[in-house]
Amino acid sequence: MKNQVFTLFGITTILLFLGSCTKDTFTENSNDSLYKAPSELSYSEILNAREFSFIKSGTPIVNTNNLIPTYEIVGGRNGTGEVLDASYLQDVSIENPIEITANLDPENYYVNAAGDSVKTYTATNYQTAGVITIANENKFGIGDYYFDVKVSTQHKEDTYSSTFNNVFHLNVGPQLVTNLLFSPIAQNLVVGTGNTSSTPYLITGNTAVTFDLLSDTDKLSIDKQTGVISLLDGYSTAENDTLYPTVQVTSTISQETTTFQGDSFLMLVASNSPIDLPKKTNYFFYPTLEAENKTFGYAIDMVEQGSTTAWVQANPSPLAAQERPEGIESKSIWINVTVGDRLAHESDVIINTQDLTQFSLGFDLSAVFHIKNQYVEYMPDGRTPTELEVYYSADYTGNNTTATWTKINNQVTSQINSLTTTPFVGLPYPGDQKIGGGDPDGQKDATKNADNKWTRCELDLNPYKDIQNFTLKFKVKSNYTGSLNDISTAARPGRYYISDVHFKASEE
Amino acid sequence: MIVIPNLQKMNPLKFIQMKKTIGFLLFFLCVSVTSYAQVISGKVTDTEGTPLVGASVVIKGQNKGTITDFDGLYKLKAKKGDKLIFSYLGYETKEIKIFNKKTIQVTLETKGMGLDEVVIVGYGSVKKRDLTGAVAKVSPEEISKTATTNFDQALAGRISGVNITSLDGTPGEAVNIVIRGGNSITGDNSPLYVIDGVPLEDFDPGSISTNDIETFDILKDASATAIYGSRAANGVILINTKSGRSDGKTDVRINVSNSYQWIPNRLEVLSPYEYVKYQQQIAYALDGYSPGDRTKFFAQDWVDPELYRNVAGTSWQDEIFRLAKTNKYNASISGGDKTSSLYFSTEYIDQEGTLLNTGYKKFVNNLKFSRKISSKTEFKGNLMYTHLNRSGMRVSGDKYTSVIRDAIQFRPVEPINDDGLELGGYDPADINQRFLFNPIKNLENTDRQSKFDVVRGGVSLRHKFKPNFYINLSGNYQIDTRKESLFFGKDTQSGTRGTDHINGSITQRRNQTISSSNTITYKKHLGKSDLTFLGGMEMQARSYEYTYLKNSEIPTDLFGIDNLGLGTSPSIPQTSISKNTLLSYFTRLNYSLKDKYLVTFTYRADGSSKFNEENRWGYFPSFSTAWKLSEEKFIKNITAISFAKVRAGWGVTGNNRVRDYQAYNQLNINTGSGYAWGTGQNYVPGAYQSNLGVPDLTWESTAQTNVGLDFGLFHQKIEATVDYYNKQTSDLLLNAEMAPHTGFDRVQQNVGKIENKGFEFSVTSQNINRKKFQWTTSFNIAFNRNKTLALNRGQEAIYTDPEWSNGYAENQYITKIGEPVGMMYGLQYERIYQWEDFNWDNNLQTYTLKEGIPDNGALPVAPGSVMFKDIDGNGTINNEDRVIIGNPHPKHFGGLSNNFKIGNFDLSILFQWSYGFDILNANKAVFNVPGAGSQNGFKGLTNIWTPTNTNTDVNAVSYLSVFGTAPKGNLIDDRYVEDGSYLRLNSISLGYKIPKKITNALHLKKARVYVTGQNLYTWTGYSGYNPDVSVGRYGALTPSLDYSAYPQSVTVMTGLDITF
Repeated sequence: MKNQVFTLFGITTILLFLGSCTKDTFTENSNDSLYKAPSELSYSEILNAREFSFIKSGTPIVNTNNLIPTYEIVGGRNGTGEVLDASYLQDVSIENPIEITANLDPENYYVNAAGDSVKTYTATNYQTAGVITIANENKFGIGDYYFDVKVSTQHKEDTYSSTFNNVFHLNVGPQLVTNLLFSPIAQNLVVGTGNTSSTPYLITGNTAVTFDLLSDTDKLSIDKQTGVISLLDGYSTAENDTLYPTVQVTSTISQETTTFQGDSFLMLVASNSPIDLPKKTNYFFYPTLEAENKTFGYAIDMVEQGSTTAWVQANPSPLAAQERPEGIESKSIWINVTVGDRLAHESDVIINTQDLTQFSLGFDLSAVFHIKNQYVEYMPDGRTPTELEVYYSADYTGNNTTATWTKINNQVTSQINSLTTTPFVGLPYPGDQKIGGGDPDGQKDATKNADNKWTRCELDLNPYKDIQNFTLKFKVKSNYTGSLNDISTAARPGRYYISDVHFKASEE
Repeated sequence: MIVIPNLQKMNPLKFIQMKKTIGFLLFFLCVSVTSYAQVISGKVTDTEGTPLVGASVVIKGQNKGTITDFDGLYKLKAKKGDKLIFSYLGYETKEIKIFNKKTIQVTLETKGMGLDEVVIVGYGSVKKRDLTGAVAKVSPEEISKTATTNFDQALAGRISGVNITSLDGTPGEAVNIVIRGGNSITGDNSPLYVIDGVPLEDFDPGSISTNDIETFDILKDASATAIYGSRAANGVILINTKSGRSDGKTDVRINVSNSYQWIPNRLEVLSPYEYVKYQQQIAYALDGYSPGDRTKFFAQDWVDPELYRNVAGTSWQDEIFRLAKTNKYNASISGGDKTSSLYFSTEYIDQEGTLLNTGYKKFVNNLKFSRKISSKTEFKGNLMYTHLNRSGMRVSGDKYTSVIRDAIQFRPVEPINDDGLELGGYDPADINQRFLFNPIKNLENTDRQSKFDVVRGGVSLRHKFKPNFYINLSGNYQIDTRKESLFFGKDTQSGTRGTDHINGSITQRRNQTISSSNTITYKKHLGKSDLTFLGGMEMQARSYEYTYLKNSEIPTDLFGIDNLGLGTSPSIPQTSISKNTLLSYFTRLNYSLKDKYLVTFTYRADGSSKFNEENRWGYFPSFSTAWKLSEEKFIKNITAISFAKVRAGWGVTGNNRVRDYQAYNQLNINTGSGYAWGTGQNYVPGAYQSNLGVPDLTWESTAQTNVGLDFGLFHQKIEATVDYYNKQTSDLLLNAEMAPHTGFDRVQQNVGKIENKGFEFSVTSQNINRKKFQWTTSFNIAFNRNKTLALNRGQEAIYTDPEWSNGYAENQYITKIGEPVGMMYGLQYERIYQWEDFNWDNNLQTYTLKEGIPDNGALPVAPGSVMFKDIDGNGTINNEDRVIIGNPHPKHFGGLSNNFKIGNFDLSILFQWSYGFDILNANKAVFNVPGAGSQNGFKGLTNIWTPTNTNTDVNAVSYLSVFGTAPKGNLIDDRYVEDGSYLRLNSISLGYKIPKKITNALHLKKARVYVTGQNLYTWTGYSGYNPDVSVGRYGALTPSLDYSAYPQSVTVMTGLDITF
């Protein structure tokens, strides 16, 4: 009996003990056993690359348990399984993470456990790690290609690596016609004379195309092979009939289509007798700026956020409205540096890359944009706390930091709040131009006071006509570090606006 | 020839009256017939040594016998070799052969079970063997052994077919009791309580002491409950409280216990090291994996995750939980004689809650008395006063503030270099974080007192015209006042960051019930038949008063709730009153033929003022029959079967639990219904129609059919009951949606139909029954299937947002025709978007979804975003893609208990389970989803999607400037539905009866020390605090929801129970 009683007590005690266990609040810390060879490398396939042209993949994803991966192209083959030789692979490169060392803000310097003052930090930029780039004018013609990529990671002394065969699929199609050029843009078709439009130039793209007319088919016809447009037999008109035909160009290789329309592409005037027509302008790139996206014409690279409200959309420049082509919707974008702690700021607005070579003959090329500065108050030494700069690059392919940028502020001509005054060279100095505390930069000019005024700026692109990869960039940057509050409370970093950025080709 | 009456059937008082006569007759017969017999005498007592008055002592095989007197003494003549049979109602019968001893002392053991147990049914009682309906009985002794403060907390697992679930672990909170599945959709599914014969609506189980319970019976099927008519559709719980003794003795019982409670588990959150790593991941993600400001801020504040690997960190859950103590004192005095009796008990419980500044206090006083005015007339009375106080802020149910959420989300460690955030990691200047606040301060500075005072009294008169014909008249009164005060001091979320700042409110509810219940009973024995007729009339009037007042912008919290007048922004006070009356007539007829064939018929007519005159009366018939197979020869020959009875019954019961005046058009005036009117544009109150009365509104009625089998094996060593039932509830009192042109969203109507059908099985086995070792096992299991058969006209489903958080406003539950009520409803998780779902546009350097891959509704998607199944195939995820994702109804539930007696030790172990049901773990929907802020969360956050951690089901914080979380409206999916199945070691109670020689020395009648554990361990795969949780705002429409619930505690109690 005693044994039974002790057993009972034993069981009860164990059960009560079980009940008394309190589970811990925290998860166990992860340990090194997590780390294994990389797996599940994945690229989004590219299906619309153009033959022999610049190709850039998206950033891949890979399972490394958050170890930073490094990448290496170890091979490739085409759609039939043939291994790509060096003549192909010499144009192929892959990006890898970059370790950076950057400065902390002075007010955030700290002393570490070892007693050292810490002023910098290191981090890894792997935003584009694994991105595969194929240089322009490469050997990759129409077809499918597959690439093998090796991924390696390191944790302490251990290295892990895996090779992923055929992990990146590239489908290359024919070059598409990106610009169909009728010269001149305005052409006269006299009724009953049988005359036709000029033969369009296919400056870019694969010439294996056909042409179709998508508008005015009751009046016009198009030669499917040559693109020449003529009046339909029996067409008659009592007065001059202005037509803006829509032409669709179809690749006979991939059946992809491109459509061209608008008065900057082709204007036909049907008349009963010949008439003289004015020269026209082709606004070949006029982005809406309605969102940060290449679709809308620009990308932002936030180099140093500071305390800004950065690059949001606003109404466009009213000054630009006077010459803005009909049918084009536009926004401005602006940045407010005068917020919060007014920390130092730097950011770039990178406009979509343009191929200027397509207008190399018979056109006068330029880029136009409108800018405005507002609420900029000078620092005690008279300098502007912030300013806007303009740059161009001929080798920008998506990586702001590795591209070569040239500052071209002094190649721009400006007109402040007017389209009629004589342009002056350079950009207006920000602020109200009052000398006040001084003019250490020597750029203040009361006759160029653009404070809170829109300024029309134009860049002559004719010197750059041979650049296939022309990229325009605006930079807003601070001329101080840390917080402006530490320098002056009267000084203000202000706001900057950009509007109606566009490229145009005017018939010579 | 002397006929010994069926003593077991008779009232002990009657035995006492008869004993002299019978004893005298027996004595003479014995003397004359057995001249050579010797006189045998002795004493019959129970195992506690208490004399058994009126116990039967007969000589086996002869019609000779006697009964014991007031001291348990007997005396009769018998021959050597005769066998004496000692029997007493509720005790094991004992047979002793006479040798040479002239004094035979007998101790009778209590019957653990037995067919002769008396079961309380409505307005009467019946032996278990004669039941025709489905009635269950719970041993009050077992309940009182548990470490609980209210009796309802101890019921889980003890009764087949009764699903007992907790809302959460709030101290003193009533549990959900659903008998045989819920009948109502938008109404109340709780049973009717009948306390000492008085039906009580809105009964608070805290209002009586567990130690005062004498009998506890549950009427389950309609044939049993129909006698309570319109309030009985959800089943009836009958509780009779203890009365005074009638044997001239007095017992004084004192029970003192002390217990400790704690919360045994924690919701696992990121450790300091994992949290800092997570913050680093967020920084990189928000910077687009190109180090920018967020990465810099991380570096300057946190420096390096490795610095935190061995940091202990702050467990905010530990900070708000505590080891809590409960003191419980209970004393009672029970005395009286054959003409008068008195019972008085008092109980005081002071329970600390396991969350800071929460608790429960209970003070119960109960007085019962009776007086025999004459041999035919007895007067009884009772008076009870209870004070309950549930204190501390409400943990669940607040859509805005949650201390549990704050304890989960507050960061476990502060950065090495101060980042300027408040302790715990929130930004006081951030408007989007206004809901966050230090949970310790919130708990400590929120003063919420929910005080409940109830006075319950009643008198009754029982008069016997003849022994078989008597009336019972009773009048009862109950008033309960519920006052809830709520004061937010300065150091609370509301006081500091809310728009009202320091504020307080008082809500007072006053319920008054006056009732009278009067019955007449006539019993007749006709040859082989027995007939019992019951007729009765009952009246009840209830009134309800409501008062609410609030003041805000109080300049100081020095005076707390006691000086609200200091506030400068008072709210408009509110008051209301409503009343209802109920008049009832009822009858019951019991007929028994040859003690084999039993028939019961009941009929009740209820008239309620809640309904229009045309629909005022509801009629509730029931019929049941039973056949004692074991009385038939073909069963009698099977020795293994000691008892067998089949039962069948049908009946209709009702539910009238709608608010008063719902059947009537109502006008109201409130702050929003006035006009600026007349000269000076003064504000003039205006009336509007606040309720669209449905003239034909009437009872919700439930028709139930029950078939059952009771059987006993091996001389009742094993007793079992099997029941099958089918319930159909029609004319549901449904808060039904209305057509927009009516101007009303919802109106109470009688539409819809619900079905519950199920199977119950319970068995009790007396495994070992020796003098020093007894072992009894009880097991029960129940299966219920619930189905919605119809809803409002033209309505296929009711969609419900449980409203547990303002940020998750979407329909998460559905009650759909053809499916059970309250199913979980949401999207089906497919996977995380990966690159394989997109094409890369080389020209634009951007990505587009592949054809056939759905988008995610209102927000763009990128790799790392969460992807759902596109059920309707329209290419976008929206409300149309929601499906049933979880079933909150268990496949089966039940309990297994084992009771041991080893010498002076007694041990009870109860396991309880619920299997095959789902829980909507809304905690996971909040805490297992990464955000851009500094809040901590569940383990899943260690595995968020990043471009270098893709094999996961936790979405990205952000990738390619796209946030990975689903848009609002798509936030609930089947990842947050978990299997809630559990097996719980519900209670263990170990007691030791102090040996008699010690108690005698201490002049005690008996004494017992005990240690008891409650809710000791739960085996479950559920990841929350406890699977026994349901904090949904809309009852049956939103069951098994877990969000910010007060965790359940483990309790270990020690105590001493002595009787003088």
